[in-house]
Amino acid sequence: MAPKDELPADASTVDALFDEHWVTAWRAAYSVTKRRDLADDAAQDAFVNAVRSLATFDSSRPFAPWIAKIAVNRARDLLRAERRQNLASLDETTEAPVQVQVTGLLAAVAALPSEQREVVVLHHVLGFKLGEVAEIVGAPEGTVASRLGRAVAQVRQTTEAEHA
Amino acid sequence: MPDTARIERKLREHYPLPTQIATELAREAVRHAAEEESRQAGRQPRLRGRRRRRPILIMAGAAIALVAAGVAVAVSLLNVTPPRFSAAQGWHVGSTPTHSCDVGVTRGRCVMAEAWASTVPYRDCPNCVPPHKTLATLPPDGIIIQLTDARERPPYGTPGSWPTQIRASQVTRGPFEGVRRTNLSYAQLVVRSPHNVEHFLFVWFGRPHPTAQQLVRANAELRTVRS
Repeated sequence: MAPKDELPADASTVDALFDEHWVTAWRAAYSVTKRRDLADDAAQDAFVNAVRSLATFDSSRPFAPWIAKIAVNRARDLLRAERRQNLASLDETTEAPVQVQVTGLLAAVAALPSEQREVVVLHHVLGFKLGEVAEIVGAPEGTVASRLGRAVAQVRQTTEAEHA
Repeated sequence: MPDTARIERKLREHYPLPTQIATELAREAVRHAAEEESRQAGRQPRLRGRRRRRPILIMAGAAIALVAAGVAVAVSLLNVTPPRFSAAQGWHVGSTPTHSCDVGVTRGRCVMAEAWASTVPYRDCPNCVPPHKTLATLPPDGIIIQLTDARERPPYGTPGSWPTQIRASQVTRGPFEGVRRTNLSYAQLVVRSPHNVEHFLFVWFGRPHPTAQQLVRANAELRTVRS
């Protein structure tokens, strides 16, 4: 097996990676959570975990799909953990989570089922290829393509109805 | 009719972006992780070398150490190193010696020690939650950190990394039970480090939503803790 090209976890490398990919990680996380506070946490955790695993990352491969995958998985974990916590404390008064108020196209995307919303954001907003999206969300490429088709059709339908 | 390219262009322009505060907090956390990673990377090669050279000796040593540790745990009293914050500029810090967790609780069952760091003089007993008197004098930009380190049998708390970092999403807006003042916020965490030291942490802020600078300042002080 060919040796991997390793990325050093030095400050300048990490700063450069953060500057280039922070928004990608955050938007990927936000596509899962639809909430800023959870997206903040998920994206930050994703970057911290990525930095700790840089020695195992093959730098001949693109960094963006890797960090997006970590962010999406972390966002799912945080959502699951929060649901468990909410179930455990149903009798306690909790503050409503902070959700961004959106209208028009963004509202149509936000209203999509999570698996469709994720692929729309990863493909159309963050520019990942279908194969990369499939790897990030952990689904076959054909499934991603059909989710994407259904999602775009739904978004079109919603926005057309608004304009009618 | 909006086509896919137009949808894509509009989405790219208008899809939400992270706030400046979240970005700066994350940058700080990532830098800290990178520093820790660099320090650990410097130590790893020596450990690997030893493992390769003498695996049998290491395993035998580990077995003996496990047996010895088991015997020691069975008969010994617990101990925990009192935590200490650094007295950086603008911080008032203090700590207590190790003591048993409560009256009637033996040191073989549970021990603890407290530390605090506050941007105003600390006026309460070491483990008084909430710290009423200090909170009464806390300005909006003020911060109070209260930390209790404990070790007990059986261990308590969720395993995690320590020192920890406070995030905006972990901060709860006041009021706090028993505190009249409502314009405050706090974060409460319990973390068990790999050596079974339990860290009970309260961080108080003098305003309902801490500013990014307050969070950065609190996290910087949290990183100075020695325990």
